[in-house]
Amino acid sequence: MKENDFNIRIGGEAGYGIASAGLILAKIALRSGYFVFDYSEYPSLIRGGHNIYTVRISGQPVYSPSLPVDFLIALNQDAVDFNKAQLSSRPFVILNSDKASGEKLPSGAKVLSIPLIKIALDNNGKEVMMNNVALGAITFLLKVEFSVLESAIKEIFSWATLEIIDLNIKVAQKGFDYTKNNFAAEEIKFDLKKIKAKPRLLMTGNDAFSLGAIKAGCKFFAAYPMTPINSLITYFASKAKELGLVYFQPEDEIAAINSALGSAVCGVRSMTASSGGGFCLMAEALGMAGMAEIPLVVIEGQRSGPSSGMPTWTGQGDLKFVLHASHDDFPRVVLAPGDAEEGFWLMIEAFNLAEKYQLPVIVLTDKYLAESRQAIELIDDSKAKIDRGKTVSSEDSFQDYRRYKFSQDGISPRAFIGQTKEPFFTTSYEHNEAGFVAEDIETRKAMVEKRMKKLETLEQEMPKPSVYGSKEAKFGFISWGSNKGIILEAQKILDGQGVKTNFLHLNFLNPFPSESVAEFCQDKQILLLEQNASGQLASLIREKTGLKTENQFLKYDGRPFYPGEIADKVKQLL
Amino acid sequence: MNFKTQNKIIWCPGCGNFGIMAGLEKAFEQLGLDPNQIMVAYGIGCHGHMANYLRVYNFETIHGRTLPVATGANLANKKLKVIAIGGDGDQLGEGGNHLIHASRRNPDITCLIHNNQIYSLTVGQASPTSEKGMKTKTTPQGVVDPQLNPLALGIAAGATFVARSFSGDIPHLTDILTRAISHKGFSLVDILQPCVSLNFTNTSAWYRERIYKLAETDYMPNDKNLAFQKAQEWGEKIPVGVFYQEKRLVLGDQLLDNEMVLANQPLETSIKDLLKEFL
Repeated sequence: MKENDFNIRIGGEAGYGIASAGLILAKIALRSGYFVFDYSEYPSLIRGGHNIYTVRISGQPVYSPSLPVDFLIALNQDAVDFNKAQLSSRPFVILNSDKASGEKLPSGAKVLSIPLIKIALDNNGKEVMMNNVALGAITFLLKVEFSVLESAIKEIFSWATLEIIDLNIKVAQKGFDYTKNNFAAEEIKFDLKKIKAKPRLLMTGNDAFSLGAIKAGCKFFAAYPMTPINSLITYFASKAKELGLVYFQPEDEIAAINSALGSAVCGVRSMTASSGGGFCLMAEALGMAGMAEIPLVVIEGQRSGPSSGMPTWTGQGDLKFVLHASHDDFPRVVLAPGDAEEGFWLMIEAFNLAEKYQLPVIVLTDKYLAESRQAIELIDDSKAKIDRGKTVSSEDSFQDYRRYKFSQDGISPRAFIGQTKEPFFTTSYEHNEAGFVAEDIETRKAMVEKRMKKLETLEQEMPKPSVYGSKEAKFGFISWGSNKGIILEAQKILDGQGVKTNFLHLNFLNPFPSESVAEFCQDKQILLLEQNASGQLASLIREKTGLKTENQFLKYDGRPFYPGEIADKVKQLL
Repeated sequence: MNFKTQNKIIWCPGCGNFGIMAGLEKAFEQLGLDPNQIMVAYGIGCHGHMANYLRVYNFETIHGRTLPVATGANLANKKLKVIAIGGDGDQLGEGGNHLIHASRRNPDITCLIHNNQIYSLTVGQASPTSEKGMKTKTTPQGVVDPQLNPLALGIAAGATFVARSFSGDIPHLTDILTRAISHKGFSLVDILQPCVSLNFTNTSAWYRERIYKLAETDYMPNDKNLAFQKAQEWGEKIPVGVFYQEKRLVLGDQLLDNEMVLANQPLETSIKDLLKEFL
């Protein structure tokens, strides 16, 4: 077992407080100075089923979850049955003896049987508090001061009554004491003793997107609940009043995007969010954003589809859809952040691009990135730059202002409704410069070309994609979005085995960095990885560069890639 | 004050839209509004052409979606007078769901239904307000559904100002529009209008024979149940006027502090305190 890099998993039924327990564990690790990457799996229901929460902890930076699981907290028998295949050869298992038996565990397992429920109930707690008992146990075993657990419980349960908080702490203390009296902590080969480290932030992709939007000056957010963007809504809504922002809960996704556009034409930085199914409903209004040249940021959190699909599982199957959604041609930007930190900065970039180029910017993410937590370095938000592009203020708005005036770069100066001396005209119909309906050949051609020109202009200032690893390597990975950290981890593994690799990570999908991709593919064996069945990025690369990617690792089972399986695949190919 | 652009108007001679546009211009005058204080969101239909003729901030949106657009605009800038104009197809068919929720939420916007009981721009299909039995392009055997009642729907869903007028009576229409626009809250106005080219049943004469003014009776628009009943009246007698009015907190004042105009807020935001919660 790696001493400095291990995985703890909590498994049990939904409704057992696994998510809160997991967060507490992650916070303890974070505050003890460790890098953390968590990942949870849960079915689409409120009670029952099987939920797992896994946290990877390390003294060195980690960028993804990994396998196998070193430490399992099994709250019920399912937790044993469903997870035993992913345990290491010598795992530690805290077994809830009230609900589970250790018979089926691997022979190398060290089992600590604790009557978690009994301890909770004996101390006037409820059955659901068994996870606190388990937290107490693990706090002792990992040699953490109980006070660290206590303050984490107080914080995570700050919404509850003082009575409930104290009860949770008491029950956790009992778990801590029971374990102390019955097991020797020296047997556990890893710990969370405090190590010296800079303070870090623990956040999900959704947290990063919300913070990025708020930093970018987004004041209006309309979204209809849909997994996996719900926590984005919850966070934004919770901060709205104090920050003077509006979270508007619409009756449907169509109202979400249309209200965001109504707000945007008045000069407010506006945003909406959904998953694939909800974005389907937004397609028509997306076209209005394109035709009427209205800035808009749309977050699309992918999940396994098609249709209702697997709501709580990840995937990358919507790439082609967001690239082409809505009828006829109009410019759009598609971004796909690779991790939470990129997510924060790309959100700011998204709002700048949306306003500069007066078009919709779609930020593609997925359940895995949106809901997993990562420890990241402190963010220096003073580095954020806000760029509103060519705007017209009320002081300089003039009699003859035309919203869709022709210009070299395709971008017209943009005024805000309600902020000019003269009213002006905005429309989803084809129009002339003044915004009045126009259908003649000359105007039509000119306007189509004006809109498409904007994308050409944007291509000039687009950043080049990042390449990670060794430049001389003869083996290259290509991927997009949230696979970034997982591939970085795979590169570490391969590097340790003497296999040098390079990795091209795409987080700008439209405009598409054709030159950089073509260049990367030279003189290398390429492996392309993505989470969809039809190889959508591979198809896009073929379309834009003419190049075929022979080796594709396509995963579409709703689970993220794991570094180990990528490394194995590479060795197969070599 | 001039509320007209220079563009040539292409509505059919005798179209009810001429009257509605005149009513709007006069209402704006009466309210002392400047063109740059008014935003109109249009749907798709003959009414939508008004986006080329009226000199206010026009936003020609997509079919059925004027109400969410208008709500977003209202939340972005409370100082703007926002009007959502659509036909009977926009507001009652494609956009029916939005009508229900706008009535419920009470955003400070005005919703006009250009109700000519047919789909005109697409040249003659039945609409949700076409009368049963009416022969149209989609209903050659006659409309089989009963009419949807926009006023009853609005009242039931919680609209705080519900009225009806007629494009052929500009003084009455002007008065209703003035009151609707100045009402603080969601105003729903059903405007009956003839379509001289495609609806040969509900003509100007047909309306004039049936319309009577609530103001000329002892009807009081302060009782919801009575209003709901009154809204059901249709056929030989068609009431016009204010059916219902109440004062209720508006959406904008519930989501934002009173005088705050979102569009005027500085974009610079420090997130240092927000970040602390993630330590």
